Amino acid sequence: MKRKLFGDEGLLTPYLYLLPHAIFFSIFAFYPVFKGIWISLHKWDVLSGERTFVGFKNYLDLFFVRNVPAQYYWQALWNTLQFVFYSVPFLVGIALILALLVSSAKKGKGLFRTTFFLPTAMTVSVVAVIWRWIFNYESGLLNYILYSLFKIKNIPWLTQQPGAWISIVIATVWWTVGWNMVYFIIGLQNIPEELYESAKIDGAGWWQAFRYITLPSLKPIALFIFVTTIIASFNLFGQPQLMTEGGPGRSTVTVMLHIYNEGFGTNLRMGSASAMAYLTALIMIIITFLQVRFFTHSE
Amino acid sequence: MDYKFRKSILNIGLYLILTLLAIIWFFPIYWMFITSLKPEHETIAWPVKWIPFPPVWENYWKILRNPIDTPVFLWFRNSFIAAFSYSILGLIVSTLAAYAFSRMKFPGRDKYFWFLVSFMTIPGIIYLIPNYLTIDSFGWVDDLKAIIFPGLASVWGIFMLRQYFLTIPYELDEAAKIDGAGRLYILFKIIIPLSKPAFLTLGFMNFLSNWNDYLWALICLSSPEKRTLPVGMLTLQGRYIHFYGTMMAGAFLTALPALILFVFLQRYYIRGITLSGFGGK
Repeated sequence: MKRKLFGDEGLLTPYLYLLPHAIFFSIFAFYPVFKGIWISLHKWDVLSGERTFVGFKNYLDLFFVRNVPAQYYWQALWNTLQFVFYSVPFLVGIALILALLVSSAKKGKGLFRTTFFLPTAMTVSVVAVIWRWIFNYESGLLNYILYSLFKIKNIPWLTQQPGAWISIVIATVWWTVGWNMVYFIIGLQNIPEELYESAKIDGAGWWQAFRYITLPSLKPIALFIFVTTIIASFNLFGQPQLMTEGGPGRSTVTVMLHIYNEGFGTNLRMGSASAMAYLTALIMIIITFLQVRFFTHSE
Repeated sequence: MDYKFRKSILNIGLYLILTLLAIIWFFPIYWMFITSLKPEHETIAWPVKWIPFPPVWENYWKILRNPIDTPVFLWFRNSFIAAFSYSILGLIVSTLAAYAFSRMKFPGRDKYFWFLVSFMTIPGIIYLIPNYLTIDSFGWVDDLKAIIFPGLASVWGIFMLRQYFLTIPYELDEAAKIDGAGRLYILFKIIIPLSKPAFLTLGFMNFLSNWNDYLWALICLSSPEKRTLPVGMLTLQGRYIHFYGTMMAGAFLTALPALILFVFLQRYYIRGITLSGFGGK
């Protein structure tokens, strides 16, 4: 018996259900991966309209640091890695502490959770503007508090290092740590209560229960949190753009900000910007891979 | 020491720490709000006024009464149209695909599913330039379509809904089939009504992520009247950079809708994270 092509049991019916998504997926997710590589093999200047095939020149320029944007790229990559290094321990550590505290509360759990989770509902431009105001040199709240409590003279947070990184890290932790906290809370909920009860019978104290039950049980969710947090920190963009404008000097210009400037901001050189994007993506994939290896190996 | 006594001391300590942290966490939002209620000279005055009394609304009027330079209502409208359309279209597109993946048998099904999921690991950074050029070739630069459609390529929603659909017993489909129900009937009368929490979650997540999107909107929308709220902030910052009362009024207007929605719907968010299978598996 021959099956029909369409209709409820038709051979093609499942594909029709997949089609709407497939259209958008192919235009905006599949095709651009290759289109991006194609662009990165060109001198693709929007201003002059020039489009010349140059092979791997953009990549070679990057590797051999043959021009100023390439030099800036490596600096930006270094800045980004610094931020990852400064921010991730706090984004994970504070999240874990908050999750443990919130989970221990018997009453008002929802209220506390909502408070810590609330800033994630805001857009980065609002977050940046608020913190820029708090860290303001002449009349910011932080300098006011430091002066009235400890008689510390005004600190130029946003225009000096390490103040600029401190400000960006604080703003970022405040903004996004709620996400990781929620993941940890869910992870904590999934630990069976019996484990703690039997540990208690065996005479284990609070620290031992934490060390030998809580932490190991949180390992899978911790891997997920580390992977997503490092990726998110790698993508740092709005905070330095709006709070420090990449300064002081170029010390808070991140890879994202540099690629944005190269491709869209002032230069509009899409070819070299694409090459930078692919190189960065490769680095991110390698870092993610290493983390997964590290976590699954140390079992 | 008495066990019960020690426990209650610990409990009080716990609530003290939690309350202190909650106050710190909420304070920047409070600070934004009260700064917006102060006349400009008072915002920079030391000692700081912690409660602005009487509150002054001039900062809000300054922004709202200037629809040419800072068209906040237009930005709000743009943000709403984009986020709402994206969230509805995203639901439709993801539901259809997730239905096929969870309820139909066809050649290449699992391969295609994992092919799609593998794309979730590609860093978004590589998409900016090629997608911008695509948008440009469609004539969508400076158009809300650029904010609505590219996100529909996302695989996340399909992944989440498929997980959820798989928990709905297949016997329900079978029973309906025996009664002569078709595929679409089963989808609309059985699967969708039983998946309400998942739909709320996904719809809200998509809405909020689109509403708050900054970088992509910054690239695609240039003229002031086409902007969404997050990018509109940039206009405000350019214009009122040294007027913190006005800036904070703008920031508060931008943040308020999302904050209200979030307070009411965040439990669906959390349920969504649990549903997606990332919670502890």
